[in-house]
Amino acid sequence: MIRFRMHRYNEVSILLELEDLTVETSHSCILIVEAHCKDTFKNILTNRIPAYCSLLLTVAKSGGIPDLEKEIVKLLISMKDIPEREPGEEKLIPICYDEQLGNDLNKMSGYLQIEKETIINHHVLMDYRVYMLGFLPGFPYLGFIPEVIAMPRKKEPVATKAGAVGIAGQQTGIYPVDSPGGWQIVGYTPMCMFDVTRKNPALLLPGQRVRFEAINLETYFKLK
Amino acid sequence: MFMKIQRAGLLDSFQDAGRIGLAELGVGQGGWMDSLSAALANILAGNDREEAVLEMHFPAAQLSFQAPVSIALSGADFDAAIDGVALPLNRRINLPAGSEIVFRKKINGQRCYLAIEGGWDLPPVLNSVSTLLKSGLGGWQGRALKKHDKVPLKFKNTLLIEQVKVSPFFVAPYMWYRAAPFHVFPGPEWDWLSAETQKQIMETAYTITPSNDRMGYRLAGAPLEMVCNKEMKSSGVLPGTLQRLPNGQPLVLTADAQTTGGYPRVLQIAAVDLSRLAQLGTGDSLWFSFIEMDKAVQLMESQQQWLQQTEVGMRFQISGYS
Repeated sequence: MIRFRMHRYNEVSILLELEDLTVETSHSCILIVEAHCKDTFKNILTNRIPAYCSLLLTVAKSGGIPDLEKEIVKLLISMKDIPEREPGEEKLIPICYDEQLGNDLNKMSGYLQIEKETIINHHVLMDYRVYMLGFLPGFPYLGFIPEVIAMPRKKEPVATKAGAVGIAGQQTGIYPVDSPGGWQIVGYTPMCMFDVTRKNPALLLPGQRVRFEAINLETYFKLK
Repeated sequence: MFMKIQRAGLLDSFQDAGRIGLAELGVGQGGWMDSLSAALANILAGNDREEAVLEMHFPAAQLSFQAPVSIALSGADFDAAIDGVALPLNRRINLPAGSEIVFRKKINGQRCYLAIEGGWDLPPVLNSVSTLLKSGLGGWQGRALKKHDKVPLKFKNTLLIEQVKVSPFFVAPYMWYRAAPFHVFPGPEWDWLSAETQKQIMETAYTITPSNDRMGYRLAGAPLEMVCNKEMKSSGVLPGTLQRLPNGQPLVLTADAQTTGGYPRVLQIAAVDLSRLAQLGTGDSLWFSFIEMDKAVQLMESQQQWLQQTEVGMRFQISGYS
């Protein structure tokens, strides 16, 4: 049985946290619970925040919370096999690692004692999943990069450009707008990560699979 | 029909109740910091409570109206005046064409709300006209108001208003400046604090540092000692979440906070107290007191009831007043 904790977060919110499972399994399970609650409680749910191993749910009126909790417990108890990977569609994100755009590869190479090309290869070859969107509207947290290229955040945030692809710990993420940021920048995507004029404003959604595709400077400017 | 900005303020932005149901995309609810004052301003202006208002910080903008308008101010007292005559808070005020409002000094509070009858004509972005500064979305061109901006109004006032007229009726605010502890619940990582810190945080005051804005307030006080140094996986957060920063000091999240965070969430300020928090600023002290969930829910319901009664009462008053 799945071990979990249900925490009453405030008057109108609850937090579900899963324990003991791998982060992949937890996340699959969280997305199943999220989708179920979205359908079953669409009239009372106001916000859903799925993350790695947790789901924060907010309702319009506190009176709805007992039913919501009961339904989640029922669902978790009935769950036996959780798919290791959401069979979601794979998104290809073009990325330009060219240093003319300005990135932190030189610094990273010195810190990690690894060739820049090796960092790029590790980053571009992984198969990622979107664990959550947070920090800024449309900012995806992708996991996971190999430990050999994991980097701590910068000590102080610096001005970071929209489209910048960064590394923090074993996560990689993409800045949707110009913003102060502390992630180590490896490259830039020409894609618009968040656009309110689109039907789906966020380019990536939790659970989606993502691969990067290396492009040169010329292609970057053509796509931008 | 326009409102014109004669001089820019520190941070004046349009806000409504914010964006609901987009948190999974990293879009927090945002919206007005002090929902009670915003609602009062709207009620007095004769609007729906959901109408967007102008949220002003001090120094606030200097505003002018080319045509007659009915307005109301609520929340912080910035000593508003027209031609040297003070304008009171929490009353309906009719202004003649050409009126220019100045805000002379900060008397109390941090955020003053201006509602205008009929509201401003602003295009909704993701179902809200709230300004989300960090993404440059919503409100007036996704930003704070600047000098020379001319923001169109939706409603054309047909009243003939020849001089400033303040309504005899008013609403008494809901005691949000009263010094009282902030009601809190234990956060998901409350147990990560040492027993001594758990005691201390409930017994000592924390001061709001100059680093406070629509995203969060950094506090200063007795450092928070941890007994658990587990690495935390990022997880959902809400306005009112009190996180422990790596330097041991607390950060309280406010309306425009991000939707997820990786710092331990040690306390959660009750939603019912967030309007009061919005009126505190640099140098103000706050302290905490646990509240039972049922009690907090009751307080929230009575706050809503008070607002509804005020709304009904004001509708009646306004209908007999011009």
